[in-house]
Formats: sequence, structure tokens, C-alpha cells
Amino acid sequence: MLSYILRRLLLMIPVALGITLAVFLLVRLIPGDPARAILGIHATPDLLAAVRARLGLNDSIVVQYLIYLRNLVQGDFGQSYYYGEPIARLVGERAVPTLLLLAYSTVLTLVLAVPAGILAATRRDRAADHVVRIVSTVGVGLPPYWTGFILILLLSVTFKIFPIGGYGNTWGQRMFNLFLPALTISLNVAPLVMRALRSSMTEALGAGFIDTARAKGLSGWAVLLRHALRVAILPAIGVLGLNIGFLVGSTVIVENVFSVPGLGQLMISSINTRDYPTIQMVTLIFGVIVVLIYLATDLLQMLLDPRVRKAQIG
Amino acid sequence: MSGALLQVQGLGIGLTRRGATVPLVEDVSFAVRQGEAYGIVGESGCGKSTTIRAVIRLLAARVRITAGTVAFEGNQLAQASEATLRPIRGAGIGMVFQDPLTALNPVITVGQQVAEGLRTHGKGGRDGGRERTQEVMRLVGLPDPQRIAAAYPHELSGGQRQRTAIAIALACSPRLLLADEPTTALDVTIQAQILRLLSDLRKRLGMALILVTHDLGVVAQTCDRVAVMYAGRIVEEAPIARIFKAPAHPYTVALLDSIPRGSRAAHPLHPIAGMPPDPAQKPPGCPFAPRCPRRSTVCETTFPSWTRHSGGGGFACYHPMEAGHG
Amino acid sequence: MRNWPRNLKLGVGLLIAWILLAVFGPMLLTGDPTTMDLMHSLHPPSLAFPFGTDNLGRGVFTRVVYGTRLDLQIGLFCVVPVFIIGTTIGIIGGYFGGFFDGLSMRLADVAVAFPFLVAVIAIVAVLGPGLTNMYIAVAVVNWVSYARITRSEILVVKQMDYVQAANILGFGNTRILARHVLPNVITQSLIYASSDVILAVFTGSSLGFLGLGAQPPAAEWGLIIADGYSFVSQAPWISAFPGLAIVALAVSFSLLGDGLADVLRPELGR
Repeated sequence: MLSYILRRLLLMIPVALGITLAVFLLVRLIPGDPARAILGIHATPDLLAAVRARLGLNDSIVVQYLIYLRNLVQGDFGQSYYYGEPIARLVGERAVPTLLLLAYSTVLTLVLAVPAGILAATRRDRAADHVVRIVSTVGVGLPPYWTGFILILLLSVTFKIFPIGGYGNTWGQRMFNLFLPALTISLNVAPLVMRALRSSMTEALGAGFIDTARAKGLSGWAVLLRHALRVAILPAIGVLGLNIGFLVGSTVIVENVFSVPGLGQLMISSINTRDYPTIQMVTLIFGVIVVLIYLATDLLQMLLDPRVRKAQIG
Repeated sequence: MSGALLQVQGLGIGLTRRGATVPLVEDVSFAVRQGEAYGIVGESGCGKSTTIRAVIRLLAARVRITAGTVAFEGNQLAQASEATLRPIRGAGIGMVFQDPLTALNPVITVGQQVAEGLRTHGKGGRDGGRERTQEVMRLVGLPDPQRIAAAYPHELSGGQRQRTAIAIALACSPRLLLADEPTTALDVTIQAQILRLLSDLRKRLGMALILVTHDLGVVAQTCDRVAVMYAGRIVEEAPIARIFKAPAHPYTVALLDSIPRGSRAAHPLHPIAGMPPDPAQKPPGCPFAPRCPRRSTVCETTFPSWTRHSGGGGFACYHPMEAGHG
Repeated sequence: MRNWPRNLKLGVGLLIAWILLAVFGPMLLTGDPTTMDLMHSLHPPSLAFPFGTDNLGRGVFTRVVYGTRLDLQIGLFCVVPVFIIGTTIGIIGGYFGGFFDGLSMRLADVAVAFPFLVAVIAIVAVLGPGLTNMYIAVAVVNWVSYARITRSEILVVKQMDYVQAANILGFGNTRILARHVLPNVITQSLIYASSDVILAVFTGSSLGFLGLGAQPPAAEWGLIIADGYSFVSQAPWISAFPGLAIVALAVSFSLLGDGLADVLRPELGR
């Protein structure tokens, strides 16, 4: 298992290099002189020259990339123009709320999708199934910035249960404050997982091992949860993994809707302040998060499915 | 028949489809004594699997028992609640299914799947059934039970999987084992081993066995008595010797004639020209009449009543074969 | 058409309705989506203003109807170019293989490593806000989905007997591609495209919402929702109605996509 993880990490190196190259080239897309774009039209020539030197714009592009890579490896992510502090520290602070929000919405997604998927599969083509399917069709179409608005309108403005936004100082506060943001994301992603689970659960419930389990005298719940769900959850986790990019993208919106001081909020505020090195780094971190989550999903599936384990490790 | 372990009386099973009920099994009655091996034979689709599934009520969705009773050790099962059935499933009646590949849960270790039944019926003991699991796995002839218990189904061979399925069914020492085509999905050489194992275990453990198969040859090796089913009805029942020596029903004869000499191939039988009738459009009289060489006009209008054999069993036919055929 | 599944009939019907609304809707309205009228600021829904008015006195209904034009345009401009580019890359890479295939698939690996929305936002951040730059950003990132789908389909179709036969008979690559491969391969992309329109409209209105897409005073649904956020307690109608429009559009396209999938790939079952 450990050697497999190491092998997977090694295989990630080309993609990781690709990510850094893409992010590096991103700033070169700036039309005209990047230094001027950063400083604005009223910049003095001295200042322009200083920024050019700091960006290494006077070197060849290959050298610039190598220097960029070296700095990344050394943990030197540069300075934020706007905040005037090291980007590494800035990004590190902002990553915590984002990761918390991601984990929270993943858990909520499962909490919503699993019972709904089981209900739809066990009551297939009956009223409960139709309701779940209609709700999920609408759910996929819920844009997070609007869902967020409706939730705020209902649960913060009309019934003053949840705060309109913010993060909090204690973990308890944070879990409470992040509930609406996480729910907003989940309402959008859960239908996808639910659909996958509905079909995999239907298939599992028709499988021979369900007969065996029932013939043993197991209760309906034990058959459903210990046998059918254990098998049916695997494709659903795969679907969740595939949509992780979508989920992460939603955090950018939701953080801005609910004023969560995470990477997504940092990204948008950096765009408004033309803080390009910060934009660059946040983009890079988002890429790394997604790649690592893909890896984690694969490992989780191996952990849960001995067949995958065998196919991968032998 | 008093003193029977299992008594099935007038069993009818139907499939509900668009408000109408299509009969799959009609008026099936038989009894199995303690320790007896009983065979049910017929072509695929004749209702034999449905019949034994009905015994422990593992019927597919929309398939329902429409008539009759099933009594096991005096417990009425046909209309019993799930809660009543659960202590009997596994503990009183075990079941082995056709395809050992799909019959085992792919993501749970073999040992856990055997032990699960034990724990459910409170027979796990202190070690959660580990001891008994190994014992029953040795019983079904699995080598190195310790290692196999930790394996997953896909790591076992087909024969080992079916032995595991039998171990699951036997874990709680049921008095009756239902086996639904237990060898059909296996290689020919493995088939013989599994059949021998089932026979052996039945004698050693003193349990009764109902073996459902399309292969009269399999029944010949294993069973004491046999019922022949056609289109949802039992058309003949007899002690095994009589079925081979003096079959009464023309369909039984046709089945016997279809056994390939020398080897017993695993193909489903197509013994006679024509197909069994569609359950939704069954003819009014004897369902075998359209394919029967001995039919007369009465066969096409009224189902024949049951005639008893002198030595037990009987048949449903107006024109039985004269003794001495075959 | 009579044999179409219900969801496809419904999806096509709704799609036609949306197009009609986008084309003719604005003509039937007397109001203007951008003219301010501070006398009628923040009016709740009424006969004169079915969806109420925003803080600048603009009718939300008028803005949402005009928004249909812009958001359908976003859907179109985000999907059609990437459909063509991605499918072409996928076909060429999948059919001929080699260096081009390897390169395009490595690029694809990198592109999918970034969350779609993050990648689009990052590119728009450097190119500057606005719809045109957003279309460019979407094209840079989203061709990957189509290229991957097409490529994997091509790899399957290439092995089919009739394509092999055409090859042996000496038909040219262009002819084999056009006559035998393309029709089979395009269906999957088409099904994907119908759900991709939803993603595109989501992306477009998300960027509008964040101030990076359509710029004020344009009538774009995401932008209207953003306008209404400051008035969540006083005038919830400003954000509520354009959101409903997005949900309705999304449901229309997902019905269309499911219906297409049922018709074009019946073997997938449901």
C-alpha cells in the first residue's frame, strides 16, 4: 500500500510540473507590460524597473520559470503587493477555512445524498422515488450564489437562526457559521451523488448476494446497509471524486457570498487589487488541492473495495 | 403426511403486472421428511426455483404467494411477517444459490460472511463466531480455513466459492437446506465434487435437502424422491428408482430421453420439440398437451387430476405410460 | 417524434420556448432594462412591475427577460466553440495517435487539475473582466472535456469491424472519418453539450455575480442577483426572480440532455 502511494505520488510529478508551468505562464498572459499592469498607469519609471526586476522579467522565460520553480520548492512564494506580507503565510491562513468548508460540504453532501439515494432505490418508481428525482433535477440546477441568497433570506433574515456570513473564532462557531455555506454547496452536488447511488443501489439490491444475506436471516436494515450500501457506495464515491473540481469551484462563489475568509475570497479580492502573485499562488494551491483529493479518492476506493486493491497492487 | 419437516400445500405464486396477476406456480403440494433428500426437476422457467424461494419467502419484487400454505416444523411461513421469518431463515432453513460468483458479497471477507449468520442468530459465542466459522469451513472441505476466511470472494476459485456459499448456509446447522441449481454455474468436474459434498453433509448432519435442478442425472445421484415440474405444476412425483424405471407422465419420459448417454452436459434441457407455454397465456387444460405425443381432446380442456402411485407419489395425466417403459 | 421519450419532448419544447422568449420577449416589453427611474426604486412586485423593481427603479421583470438573451448567448458562445475545438482535437488525436495525441492529452491532464471555475476566473483575472475574455477563458479550459469524450469514443469505434473493413478496402482516412467514425462519435459529445450549457450559464452568471463577467448595467441574471444582495431584507425579489430563471433554464437543459441520452444511447438504460 505504501509503495503504491509513493508510486502514485511519483506519477503526479509531470502533472504537478504542468500545473506550475500553467500558473507561471498565466501571468505572462497579461496584455502589455506586467509591471505596468500591476502598478497602474501612474507608476514611476523607478518603481516599474524595481517590479520588473522582482518579477525577473529581464531574464529569458526559461530562466524565469526555473527561478519560479526553485522559489516554490524553497517555500518562497513571494510577497503580496497588497497585503505586504509573505504570500506563503497569507495562503496558509486562508487555506484553513476553505479546507474546512470543503470537508463540511462533502459530509453534508453524503448526509443528504445517501438516505435519498437509498429511499429512491428501495421505492423505485413509487411516489418517494419520483419526489427524490424531481428534487434532484432541480437541485443540480441551483446556482450556489442564488441558493446562498435564498438560504440567507430564509434562515438569516426571516428566521434569525444563522448568521448572514463570517467565520468565527472557536471551532464551534466556525461549524455553526459555515453551515449555510456548506449546505449551499451540498444542495448542488448532492443530487449528482444521489443519482449515482440510486442506480448503483438498484443494481446492488438485485444482486445475488442480497438473496444470500436475506437467506441468512439478516434484518432488512442489515441487508440494506451492511450488504447493499457497502457495494453501492463505491460508484457514488467515484462520482463525488469526479465532481470535486466543481465542488472546489463552488467554494470560491460561496466564500464570497458568505464572507468566509478563505482562498476563494482571497482570490477575488486579489483580482480587485491586481495582486497577481497572490492570484497565481491561490490558483496553484487550488490545483494542488484538487489533485490531492483525486489521489485521496482513489486511495479511499482501494480501501473500501478489495477488487480495486487487487487490480492496482496485485 | 404427518411428521413432515416441511409441508407445502396447494401453493400458488403469481406475478403482478399492470394490475393483472400472471400465475407462475399453481397448486403445488409436497412434503419433505427429516433428513430426506428431495429433488425438484424441470426446464428453466417451470417454476421450480420460484417454488423453493417461496419456502423462505425470497421472492422477487411483485412476485407473491397467492394461495396455499407452507409449514416448517409447524410454523406457517406463507403469510408470516418478516420478523417471524428471520429466525427461521439461516437457522432453520439454509439456502444455496445458483451462481457462487454473485452469491457472495464482493467487498466483505469470506470469513465475515460466514460468521455474520452465526452472530445474527446469537450463535457467535465469545469469539464472534470465529471458531465455528473455521469449523464449518473445514466441514465443507475448504483447505486452510484460516487463510480463506481472510480472503475476498474474487480471490477464490468457483468451486471454493460454492463451498463458501454452502458454509454460509450450514453455519447455524439448519434442519433443511434448499439448493437452487447449486452446480449449474460450475465446471463439470467441480459439479460432481459439490454434489458429493452436499450428499455427504446431508447424511452426516442429518438434515433434509431440497435440490432444484434441470438435470435428472443430478437428482439420480443425490435424491430419495423427486418431483417433476412443468409450467408451474408438479406433473409427477415418485421415489427416485421408480422415476427411472417406470415413469408415468409423458413429460418425465421426455426428460429421461433427453439425458445424453455417457456424459451429463450442463446445458439447459430442450427435450422435446416446442417450448413451454408463456405463463401469461397458458392453455386451459394440461399445459404439456401441445407438445405431448399422447394427447387427446380432453387434455386440451381440463387439467388431469392427481393419480397416486402405489409406492408413494403420483402423477397428473390422462394417458400415463404403461409400466415398463424406459 | 411521437416515439420520443417524455423528457425529450419536454426538453425540446422548453428550449424552443426559451429561444422564442429571448428573441421576441424584449420586443413585447415597453420598458428598458437599463434606464434608471429613481421614482420607482425598490417597488415590490405589482401589475406594472411583475417582478418588482431594483434600487435604481429598473423593472426586474424587464431585466430578467432581456437577461434571457444574454444568458442564452453565454450558453451558446461558451459551448459551440469548445464543442468544435475539443471534438476536432479528440478526433485527430484519437484517430491518428502519435505526438499530437500525447501532447493534447498531457495538456488535458493539466487543465482538469484546476477546478473549472477557478481556472476560468484566473484567466479572466489576467485578461481583464468582461464577456469576451470569459469566452476565451472557457475555451482555453473546456475543450478538454470534449476532446476526452471524443477520443475515448474514437478508440472504441476504430476497433469496430466496419471501420476496420473500410480501412482494408483502402478508403482514405477522411472518408472513413466522415462516413463511419464521426456520426458514432458525435452523439456522446452532443449529450454532454446539452448538460454543458447549464455549466456554461452557471459559469457566466457566476462571473457576472463576482463582477468578472458581464459588466453593469447589462441585464445578466448573475449580475442582477449580485445587485439584489444588498437588499436581501428590503427587496428580496430582485435576486429571487433571476435565480428562478436560471433554475428553470437548467432544468430545461437537463431534461433535454436526459432525453437525448435516452434516444441516442438506449443501451445505457435508466
